[in-house]
Amino acid sequence: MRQARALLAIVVSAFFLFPLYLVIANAFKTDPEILRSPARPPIGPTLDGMSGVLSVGDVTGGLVNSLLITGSTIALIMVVSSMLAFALHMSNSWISNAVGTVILFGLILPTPVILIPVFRVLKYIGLENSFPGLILFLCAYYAPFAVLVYRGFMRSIPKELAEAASIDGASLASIYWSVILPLLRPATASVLVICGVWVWNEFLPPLVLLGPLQGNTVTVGLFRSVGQFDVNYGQLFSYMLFVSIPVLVFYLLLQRYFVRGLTAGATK
Amino acid sequence: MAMGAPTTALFAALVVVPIGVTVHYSLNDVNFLRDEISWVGFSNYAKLWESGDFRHALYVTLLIAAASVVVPNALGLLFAVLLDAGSRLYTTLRIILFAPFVLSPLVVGLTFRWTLANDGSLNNALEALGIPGPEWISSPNLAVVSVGLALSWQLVAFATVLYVAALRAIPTDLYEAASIDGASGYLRFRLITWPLVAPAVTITTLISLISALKLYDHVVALTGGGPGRSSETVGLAIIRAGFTQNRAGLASAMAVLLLVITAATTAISLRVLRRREVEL
Repeated sequence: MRQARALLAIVVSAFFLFPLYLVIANAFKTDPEILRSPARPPIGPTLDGMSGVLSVGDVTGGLVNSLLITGSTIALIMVVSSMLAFALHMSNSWISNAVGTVILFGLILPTPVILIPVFRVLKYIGLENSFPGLILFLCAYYAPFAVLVYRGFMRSIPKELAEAASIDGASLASIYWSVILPLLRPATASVLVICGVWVWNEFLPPLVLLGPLQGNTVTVGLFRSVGQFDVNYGQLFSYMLFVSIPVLVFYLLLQRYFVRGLTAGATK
Repeated sequence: MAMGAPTTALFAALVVVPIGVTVHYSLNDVNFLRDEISWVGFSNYAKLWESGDFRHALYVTLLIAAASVVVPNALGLLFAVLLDAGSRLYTTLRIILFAPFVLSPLVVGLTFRWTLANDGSLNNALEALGIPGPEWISSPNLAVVSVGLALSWQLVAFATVLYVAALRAIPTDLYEAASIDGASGYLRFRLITWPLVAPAVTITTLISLISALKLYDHVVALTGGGPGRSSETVGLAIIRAGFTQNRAGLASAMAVLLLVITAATTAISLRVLRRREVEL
């Protein structure tokens, strides 16, 4: 019974792993091999696909751009949304309650709904087709989630802690920096890993907001190269592997915080 | 509140204002190329109402949304019960099983396109069993099913891990007490497990609903909305009208409708599901 259950559990997990396995296995096979038996592991693996995609597609440039955009966005989200969460935590005025409520609507907003006007707003402030414009938008778009995680976590921090420090004469900003921020570390880990994965995988915002001249993120690059590689499957799978490795590594390193952060909103 | 100013300003400028602009555009005829905008009232909405293409996109989106509420909750809970054990094997399997959720939807869509192709792995496997494989991607109805499968594959992974976390939080003495009182396996599930995983039901439902209603990446990678427009979602229709056809007014009317539908369905589900949580 116990072994049957373990076997079933392994089969179910393998089923979920299959598409990822396809990507990894086929990235190291030649085209005839891929076409003949796509599901077979690479026997005598080849690096042709990997080196081919590096020379044809602009994968390295895309990886650098995606790293830059993801890194800046999550750093910015971490700082500004923990600040907002702290301000909401400490204040009870009508305006902070209103901000706290309105920002929750950001959680349900489908990106296609606002991208056209977002492009107009960015153009208005001179940031259209630029990395900073995209980063600011992604920060605004994912801030509601980060604020939710931070606020949930802050409920476990007694208000008296900050109040005691402010009686001792510390300013709110210095209390935030030296007392609160260090306590928020687990929540920050959740925000970084979850928003990091989401921002990395974003496709439509960079496609629309960066425009064709600015250089691609890896996701946009992958999409644009699909037609191009239609005949060369080894390269297509290698491209997909390059898009997937960073998020998988990031997830495996911080997977504990991933689940914890996703459940944070529910346990109030 | 000064510390909240940066996020509030960003959110106002790049989320709240754009929503307002979308509503404004939806009531106008907008031409960015000639920089013209003229008031047309509700005629964009009227055009949508008459457009068979849009009604079909709405139907596809709602169908996938309904399926992606049911499938991840049902399979997620089932797999969670299977994987809820303490040993290292199960811990490892849970980490593996969650991986699909962090993959790019484009990558997921492309691997599904490959797996579901007429001569793909799935049909090869079916043929080996003596079942003729259907045309997953090139037949209009199955194309929608394929898109739903790709999305569900990610959402089930997510739901399973969430349900495992919820199951692990249930105190075991509850089950022991129930067993001593002679409760059957079904009764223990019905009276202990199901009520106590209520928060996981809420999050799974909300995340699934939101992911399905904004569906874009999976479709573009898997079917491109085809064959024809048979698997086009509202997300795809918005981008096509707004960017490819330069009809921002019409696209904005679709966007407003999608926003209203998303807000309404999430508000209703939240209300229903939260009430269930409170009753415990």
